[in-house]
Amino acid sequence: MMAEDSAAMVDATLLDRTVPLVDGLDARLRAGVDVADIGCGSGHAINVLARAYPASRFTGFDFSEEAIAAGRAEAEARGLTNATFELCDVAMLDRPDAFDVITAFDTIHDQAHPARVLAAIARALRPGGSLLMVDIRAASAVEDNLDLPWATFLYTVSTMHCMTVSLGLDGDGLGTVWGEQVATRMLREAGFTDVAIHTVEGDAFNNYYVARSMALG
Amino acid sequence: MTTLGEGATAFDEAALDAFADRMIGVLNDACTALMTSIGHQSGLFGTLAPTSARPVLPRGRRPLLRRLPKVSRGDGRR
Repeated sequence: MMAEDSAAMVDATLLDRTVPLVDGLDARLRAGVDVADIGCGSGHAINVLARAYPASRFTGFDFSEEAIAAGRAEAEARGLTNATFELCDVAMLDRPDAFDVITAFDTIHDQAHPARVLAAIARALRPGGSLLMVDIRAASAVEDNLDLPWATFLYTVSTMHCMTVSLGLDGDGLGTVWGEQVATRMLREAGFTDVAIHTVEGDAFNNYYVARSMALG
Repeated sequence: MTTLGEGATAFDEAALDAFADRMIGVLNDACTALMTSIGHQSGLFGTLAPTSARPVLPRGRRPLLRRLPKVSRGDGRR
């Protein structure tokens, strides 16, 4: 169900509304850059981007064999030669300076070790590279979410899935509702700069965080 | 102006909003039920319940829950 819901969202918004959030991204993708999607799941976002931008090279990373197989099958069915998928625990991602753009769609808060993943992303980006991180729109403090119409739902999903999955792996248990303040702090601590938070019409549940890896010097 | 075919009805925005509100309410309320169950079964409510600071209300003013027979009130301990 998560894959279906997320695929519908990708089809509706990725190219028209999400790509333009990152300054100059459309032009860079047209020219040809290296792109990674962290926690790519079934890889639909990668495949949509790969078809739209044939000059760029796309790599999806996920630790689910089933998901990687689904991504490869879709890429093959669409005849895409610029989309590859690698089975990888993204906390162990070790690809220094390999990518110009990295995306992470609703995956960071589920990680056992989110800070390690963000640090690995920062290392994997070339200096000045862009991160687009999509994650649940909420504040970090409970009392600041009283006006959020689906706050009860989010905290329950967190207790029964996101936080628990992370804690079950001896992780940090960040939870679904880690929120803007914690997310922004963790992005800065991982070495990102120019952190901006956008929203996309048609996706009331998510924030779109855009950040840059530190340039050298 | 949009012309509707025979038998077609105009899209009812108010009905959509009402449905969305109700659906969010259903999800939130269902979640409250699940979380209440977790709070009970894990013993959290029993642990949190203040035993000495509990306000004493006149018998007729007590909330329904307090007037139920004690045996049916889970205190979270097992």
